[in-house]
Amino acid sequence: MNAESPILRTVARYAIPLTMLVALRIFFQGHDLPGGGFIAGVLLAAAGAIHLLANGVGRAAGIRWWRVSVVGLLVSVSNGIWPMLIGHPYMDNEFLHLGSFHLPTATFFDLGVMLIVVGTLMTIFVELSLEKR
Amino acid sequence: MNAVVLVILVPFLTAIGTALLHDRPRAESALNAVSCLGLTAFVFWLLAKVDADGPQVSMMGGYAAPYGIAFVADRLSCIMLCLSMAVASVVALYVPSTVTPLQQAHFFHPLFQVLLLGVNWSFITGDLFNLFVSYEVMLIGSYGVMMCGSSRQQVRQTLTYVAINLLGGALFVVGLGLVYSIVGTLNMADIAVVTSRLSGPRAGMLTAASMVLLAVFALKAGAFPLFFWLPDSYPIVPLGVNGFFAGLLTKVGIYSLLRVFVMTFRQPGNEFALGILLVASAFTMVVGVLGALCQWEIRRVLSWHIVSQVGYMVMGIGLAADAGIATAAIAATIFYVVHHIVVKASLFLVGGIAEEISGSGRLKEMGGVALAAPGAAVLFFVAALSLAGMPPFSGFLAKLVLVRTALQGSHFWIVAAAVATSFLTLLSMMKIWSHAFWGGWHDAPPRPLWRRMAAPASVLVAATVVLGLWAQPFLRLASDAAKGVVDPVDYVHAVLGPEARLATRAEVARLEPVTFAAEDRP
Repeated sequence: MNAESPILRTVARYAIPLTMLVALRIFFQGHDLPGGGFIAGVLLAAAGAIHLLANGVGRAAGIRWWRVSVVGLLVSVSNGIWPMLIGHPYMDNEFLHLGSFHLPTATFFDLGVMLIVVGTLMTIFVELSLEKR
Repeated sequence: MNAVVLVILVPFLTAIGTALLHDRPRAESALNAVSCLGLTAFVFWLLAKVDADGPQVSMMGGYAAPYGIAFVADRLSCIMLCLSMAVASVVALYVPSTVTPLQQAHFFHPLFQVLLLGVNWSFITGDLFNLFVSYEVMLIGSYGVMMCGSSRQQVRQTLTYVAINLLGGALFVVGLGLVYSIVGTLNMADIAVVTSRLSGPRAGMLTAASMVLLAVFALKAGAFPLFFWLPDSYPIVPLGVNGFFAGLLTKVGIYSLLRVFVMTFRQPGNEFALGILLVASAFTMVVGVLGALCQWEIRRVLSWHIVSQVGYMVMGIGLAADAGIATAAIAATIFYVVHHIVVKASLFLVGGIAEEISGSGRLKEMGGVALAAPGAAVLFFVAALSLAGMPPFSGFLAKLVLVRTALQGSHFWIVAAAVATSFLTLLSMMKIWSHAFWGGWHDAPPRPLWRRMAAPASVLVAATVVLGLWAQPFLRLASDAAKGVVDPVDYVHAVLGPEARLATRAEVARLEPVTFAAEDRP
C-alpha cells in the first residue's frame, strides 16, 4: 500500500477517531452486554493499523508498544489487590455507587486487558511494517 | 487466609517490574533476586503456619467452594513451595554471573518469573481446571526461557518441546472434560468427596477417564515411556536456570500425580492407575540410567539422570496402591522429592561451574577441574554421591525409606530395579568425575567468575548434607504431609466446610449405586 495515498489519508482522518469512539462505547457496554476490554483493544489496534497504512510507520515506531502491554498487565493484576487490603479475597468485586451510576472494580481489570491487547497488536503491526523496508 | 495468593502474586508483579526495568539490567537482576528471597521467607513462614494450624484456603473473588476457585496451602503444597522458592532464590543469585546481554535483551528475567509463577500456581491451586491453567502459564514461561538467546539448536529443540507440551495440554483438557462429565465438579476437595462415594460402573468409567490425565502427568514428569522429550530439551536451557528446570518442572508432574491420583481420585479401582505407575517406574529408572551411561556431555548425562530419578518418585506413588503401606510410601515419595529437587538443582549448577571453568561441556574436552578449582570439585563430589544414594547424604536416606517401604509391601522386583539403578547411577557419576574433574589441568588459571557461581550452589549442596544428617524433622514433616494426602480430612474441611465428609470403602459397599452426577452431592 502506498503510504502517500491522499485518498487513504483523507479517509483515515475520519475513520480513526470514529473507530476509537466505537471502541470506547464497546468498552463501557462490556459490563452488561457483549463487548469489553479485549474487543475494545482490538478495535483500538485496528485504528492504529489504519494510521500505519495511511501515514507510515515513522511516528508509531518511536513508541515502545510492549511497555503498554506491561502497564496493562500491572493495571489488571493490581486491580485484584485492592480488595485484599480490606481483608477480602484476591479479585473480589467491589462497586462504587454514584447515584444511578455504578463503577465496578472489574472495569479497571478490563482497562488493563485493553492495554495488553493494544500493546501486543501494535508491537506486531509496527514490527511487521519495519520489516517491509 | 487470603495471603496465600501472594505466592503467585509476587512472581507476577516481579515479572511486570523486571519488564519495566528492562533498560537497567542491574536493577532488573537485583529486583529478581530480592523478590525471590522475600517470597522464600514468606513460604517458609507459611509452612510453619500450615504445620501448626492446618490447611489455609483463599477463595478467588470470594465465590464459595466448590464453584469458586480455591487456592489451598496444605503441608504438601507448602513443602513444594519452599523447595521451588529456595531453588529459585539460589538460581536468582547464580544467574547474574551467567546471563548474557542477548539473553537479558530477550526478557530473561520476566520470563523466569512467569515460569516461577506457573510452578507456584500449580502447587497452590485446589481446582483441577485451574491446574491446567497453571500448566499453561508455566509452559509459556519455560518456552520463553528455553529460547533465550535463540541459537539454532535452541530453536530446533524448543520446537519439539512446544509440540509435545501442546499435545499434553490438549489431552489435559480432554481428560478434564471426561472427569467433569462423570463427577460433575472440578474442585479437588469436592471430587474427593464425590469419588469416595462412587461404586459400580461409574467408578470404572472414572478410572478409564483418569487414564488420560495419568498420561498427561506422566508426560510432564518424564516417566517411561513418555520421557523421550526430556533429555533432548533440558541441555539447551540457559546455564543457571537449567537448575530450576531440572529441579522443579518434572516434579510438578510428580506433585500432580500425588495430588490428583492419590488424594483426589478415591473411587474403587483407582489402584489400577497406581499399579501402572509402579510398573512404569521400574522401566523409568533403568532406561534413564542406561541412557545416562552412554552420554558424553555433562548436561546430557544429568538430564538422563532426571528421568532415572523420576522413576524412584513414581515408584513411591505406585506403591501407594497397597493400602497397608500407602502412607509410608507417600511419605517416602515426598522425602525423595525434597532430596531430589535439592540435589538435582545443585548438580546442574555445579556442572555449570565445571563447564564455565573448562570452557566446554563435553566430557572428552574437559579435565583437571579438581586441580583448577578444588572447591567446585568438592561440591560436585558431595552432590553426586548424594544422587547415587551414598551415606551420609540425603540420597541414602531417601532411597532407604523408599526401599524399606517396598520391602514391607513385598515388592521385591522393584527393590532389585531400584538398587541396580543406584549402582549404575554411581557408575555414571564416576564417569563425569574421572573425565571432567580428574586429569591434568592444561593452561591458565580458570576464569574467576566461577567463585561467584559457587557461593549460591554451595547452599544447595549444604542442604543435602543437612537433609542426610539431621533428617528427623524433615521425615516427620513428610510423614504428616503424606497423611494429609492419603486421608485428606483436613483439606476437605478447610475447603468445603466442616459438614463435608469422605465416605469410607465400607460405607460405599452399603450405598445404592447412583446414576447422575447431581445425586452424588453430599
